[in-house]
Amino acid sequence: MAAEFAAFTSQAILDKFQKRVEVVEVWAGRILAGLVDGTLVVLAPDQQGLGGAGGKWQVQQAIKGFGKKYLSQLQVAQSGSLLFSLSEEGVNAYTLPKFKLTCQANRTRGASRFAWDDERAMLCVGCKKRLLLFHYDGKEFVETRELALPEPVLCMAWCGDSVCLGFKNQYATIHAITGALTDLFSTGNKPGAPCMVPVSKTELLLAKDNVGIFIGPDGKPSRKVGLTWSDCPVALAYSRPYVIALLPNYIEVRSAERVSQHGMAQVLPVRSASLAAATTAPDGSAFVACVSDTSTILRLVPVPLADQALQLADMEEFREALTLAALIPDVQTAGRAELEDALHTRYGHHLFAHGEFDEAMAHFGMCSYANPLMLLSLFPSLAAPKMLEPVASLMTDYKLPPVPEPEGEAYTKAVSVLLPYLLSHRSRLASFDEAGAAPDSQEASSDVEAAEAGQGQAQDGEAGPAHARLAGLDAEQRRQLAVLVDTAILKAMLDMSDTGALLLFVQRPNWADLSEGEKALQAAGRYSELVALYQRRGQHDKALDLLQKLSQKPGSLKQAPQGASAELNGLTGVWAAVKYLVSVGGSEQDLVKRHARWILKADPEAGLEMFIQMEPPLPPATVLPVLTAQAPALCAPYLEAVLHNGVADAAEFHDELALIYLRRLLEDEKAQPDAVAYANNVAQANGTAAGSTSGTDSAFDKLKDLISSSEHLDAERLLSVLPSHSAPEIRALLLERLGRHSEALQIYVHRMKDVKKAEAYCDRFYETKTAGRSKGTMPAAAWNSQDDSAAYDMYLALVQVILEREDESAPSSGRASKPSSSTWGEVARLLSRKQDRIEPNHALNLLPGEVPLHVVLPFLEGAIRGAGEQRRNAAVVKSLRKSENLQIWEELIRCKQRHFIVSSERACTICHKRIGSSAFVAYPDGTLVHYSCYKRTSTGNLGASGGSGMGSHRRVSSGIPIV
Amino acid sequence: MASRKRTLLKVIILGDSGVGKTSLMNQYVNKKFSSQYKATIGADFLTKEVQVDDRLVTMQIWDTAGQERFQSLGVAFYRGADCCVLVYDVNVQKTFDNLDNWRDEFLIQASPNDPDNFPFVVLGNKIDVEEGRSRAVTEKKAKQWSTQKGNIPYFETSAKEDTNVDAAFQCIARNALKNETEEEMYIPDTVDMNTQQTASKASSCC
Repeated sequence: MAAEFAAFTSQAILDKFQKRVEVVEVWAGRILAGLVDGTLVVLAPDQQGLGGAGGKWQVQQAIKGFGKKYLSQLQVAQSGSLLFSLSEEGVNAYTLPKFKLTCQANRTRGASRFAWDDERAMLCVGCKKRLLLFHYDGKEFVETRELALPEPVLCMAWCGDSVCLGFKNQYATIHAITGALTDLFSTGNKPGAPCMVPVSKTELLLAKDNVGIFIGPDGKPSRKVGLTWSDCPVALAYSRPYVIALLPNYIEVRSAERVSQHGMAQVLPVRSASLAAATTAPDGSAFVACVSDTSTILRLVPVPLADQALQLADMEEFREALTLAALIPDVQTAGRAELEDALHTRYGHHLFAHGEFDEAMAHFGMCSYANPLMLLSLFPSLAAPKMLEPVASLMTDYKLPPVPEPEGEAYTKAVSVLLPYLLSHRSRLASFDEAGAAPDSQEASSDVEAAEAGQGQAQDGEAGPAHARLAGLDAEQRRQLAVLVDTAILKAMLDMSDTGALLLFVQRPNWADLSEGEKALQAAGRYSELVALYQRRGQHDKALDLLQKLSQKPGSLKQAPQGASAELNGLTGVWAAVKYLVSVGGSEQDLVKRHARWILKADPEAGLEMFIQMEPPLPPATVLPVLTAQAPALCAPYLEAVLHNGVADAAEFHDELALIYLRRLLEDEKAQPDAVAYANNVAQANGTAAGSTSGTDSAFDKLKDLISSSEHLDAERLLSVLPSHSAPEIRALLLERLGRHSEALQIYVHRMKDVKKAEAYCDRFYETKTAGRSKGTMPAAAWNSQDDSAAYDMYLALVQVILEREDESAPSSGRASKPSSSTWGEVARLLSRKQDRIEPNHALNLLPGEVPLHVVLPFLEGAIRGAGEQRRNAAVVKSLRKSENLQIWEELIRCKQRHFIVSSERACTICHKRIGSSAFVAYPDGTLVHYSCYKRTSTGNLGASGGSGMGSHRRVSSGIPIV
Repeated sequence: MASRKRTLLKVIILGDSGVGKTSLMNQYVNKKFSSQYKATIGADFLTKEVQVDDRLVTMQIWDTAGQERFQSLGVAFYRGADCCVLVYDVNVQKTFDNLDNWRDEFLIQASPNDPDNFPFVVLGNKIDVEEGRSRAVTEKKAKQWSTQKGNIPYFETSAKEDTNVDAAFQCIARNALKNETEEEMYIPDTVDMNTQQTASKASSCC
């Protein structure tokens, strides 16, 4: 490692001192040094305060014989006003600053070590094989306890309620209250005195050979990790977070908070061979006395934590650096945050370079100004460096060493780690824009407002500085950033195994750059995703061209289709195109027209489906020419579907549809010379057995249905198109629509020889005509009405037609003009079947004179019987009416018979006065009232006459009161 | 390279829209609560340093969108998760019923090595609403479900009043660490030759 880490800088404050310094202690910015002969030397810097780094220190005071014979230990109480010293005569307490002896601890003569605890004001003294505990009450030491020890104590320190003791070969703790002595562990195999240093009030560091072990008040190791020095320490000092170990030839500084196993150490050289003592000032400075033939006191001034952290970072010890940065007090938060950002960035960078992508990204993520650019700059293949330029203001200010982009497997791994972070940045951008958009809508917003919105967001707990940086960009730059991020996401997903996520991503709104994405997707053969991207960007033509290629000639693509697109050859591709066009909808007419061609060619059904499903639908007028040109057979199903779902207007397209049917019908006819017979057969089959499946989907049936159901057909036009020799039934139907009944009937009877159909025709006509009025009146009376004569005259028209046939056929056949009996029979049967619908007189008039009577007999019989029936019916009706009349008379008489007896007691029910001889009103329930009272109570009510007013007044609906 | 101690924990929060995932995370990490609802778009994360026993670990909490239209590509986020937090609203039955779906979805998408023992934690949030009078899911029912699904720890929380949030996340951190392989105990360094060399060098030049 090139650079040497320095936690402290050393400075000699006392050099080449002739006497041996045994002990040093810090007191109010001064140093108390105890000499081997018992002299106490007070050292102070030239200028007051410890600050002056280069400042000279001078001996301020020297008290000879401060300790008798020697001074082996000094400790200043936390208050700074009390000093404890250990010399041959024992532990003495002095008040500071005058060094006035206040008291002595009894029986401590010849003590080896003491430990003072500020909190409890307790002094613990190891004196030969005894341990004495004193309480200092402000004036003197009061012995509280004496405990026996197996051997003299060499060092000791308080730790919670216990005192940790170091013997020659062993460490032990003794509980100050219970006196329980617990052995800990040996001091090690190598020769050397035990040594320890308090790290906190409840934690001690004990040296065992060259290993430091942290223990808690219970004597058990408090940390899993200890410290290791390169030699056995002679003395230890602690300046958070460092343990300063005085080794026989040098000082070694190691962090007690170290996190990595190869914790950094600083080594400070010292000239002398042996080191004696060390102590720590409140500002973190440590003072070390080194002794050989002369004494030196070194002051170790801590390097500011931030500088240390940077040093460590320079040495790539980022974790240590971060740990140190965390120790910087909160007062300096701003600086610390900056430092930590720098450390996270550099650490992330370092980790990234070493293939630790997960941790690297996590550290980038911990930067307060984390932004996608930091990440993207590491992946030139996801985002070309020059594309980053427009938003370079987001870049960190640190010059980071260039890191080659990972390759191969590592690249895939890195990208998969990167992806969620990119997505999170995407979310942040989106939520930033959302927050920024809010003020936008209220009033014209400036960037300042956007920044404020960003700040508001920050208060919601989002990373503030990151938002501030985003706010520093204008909308265009933010858009560019979004493009960068989304493009990178697209490319990153391409490099990962296909889970369908990429397709999902491009299908949703995104900012991915079209040309970049196009290139990348093409190179990877991910055509489905490319189609989706095209669609997102409105490049429908390109998308559909691609789909066409995929489906029709996948071989023409440079890169074999991968992923979802691999399945798009052939029909699936066609259907994909159909789905595409359906979603684009009818707004893109030209597009649909252009691509309908190949789709229809490849799979007519798909094409049909497309036109039918399209939302918004394409106007049928546009679709039909396309279909006629490409797949005429589909015109009819298309029109049927769009008519059914209401896209096409019946008025407009029924004609079209009928013509299409007609055309097909004629084609069929041409193909099958006996089509007429066929049509007749079918017609007969339909006429007799409903729902014969064979014929239902034929053009003939559809046309028939259409003609009979549609209200919009132009029958005239169709008729003109229909050749006279074909499809007689259709012709008949059309004629029917036009009201040319006799022509229609002629077709049925003569051309089709189907009297039943003709009769059905008449029935249909009759029923529609009479349907309207049949409700109120009796059916039997229908033909009585003169208005509806046309309805039943149709039957007569039929009879006429049947007879005409005979007339026509007679000369041609050369037979006698005598109608054949079969014809007569037919006519007769018809007449008798429908006799209730035919005016017999009219019918008789129609029949020519030569009709044999026996033939007409059934009809006449029927007619006479019908007339008789009618007469009887009328008689019954007459009688019924008469009895009804009688009933009403009876009722009337009963009503007239009502009477009331008005005696002198009868009183008016309203005024309760006697009726007397005044005019009165009687209610139907028998109560009587004065006429005047009645008038009064029914003021304004109908009440002209007593009689008619009653009903509404008393809830009685009938009855005639007598006035 | 020596296996370093894991210091990064990835935690995924899942649950229906509006159950308080973001609020829980914000309360835990930033000690802030806003009653204004803002749908989370996509997914984002916050980090927090957590002390688990004697270890300081960085917990990276990924908050995901509950609304389907904002959900993005779960698999990318679920990968490498150390713990999955399932959140529901105790006042809305449906959010509880959906826990099954979220759990299944996570296991399918993340496909952890040992799905049966993957650490989940269930949080029933919003217990503060109307002082619990509007509750639709009883604690008993939720606990029953959690027990059935492999003894998942269950907490009743209120992000608004900061009830149980710390405890829940502490448990989450602990559970996330549970899956880690037993780390070896610390073995002190042997003598660092490097240090000694630099020491002698340094002393010679001084």
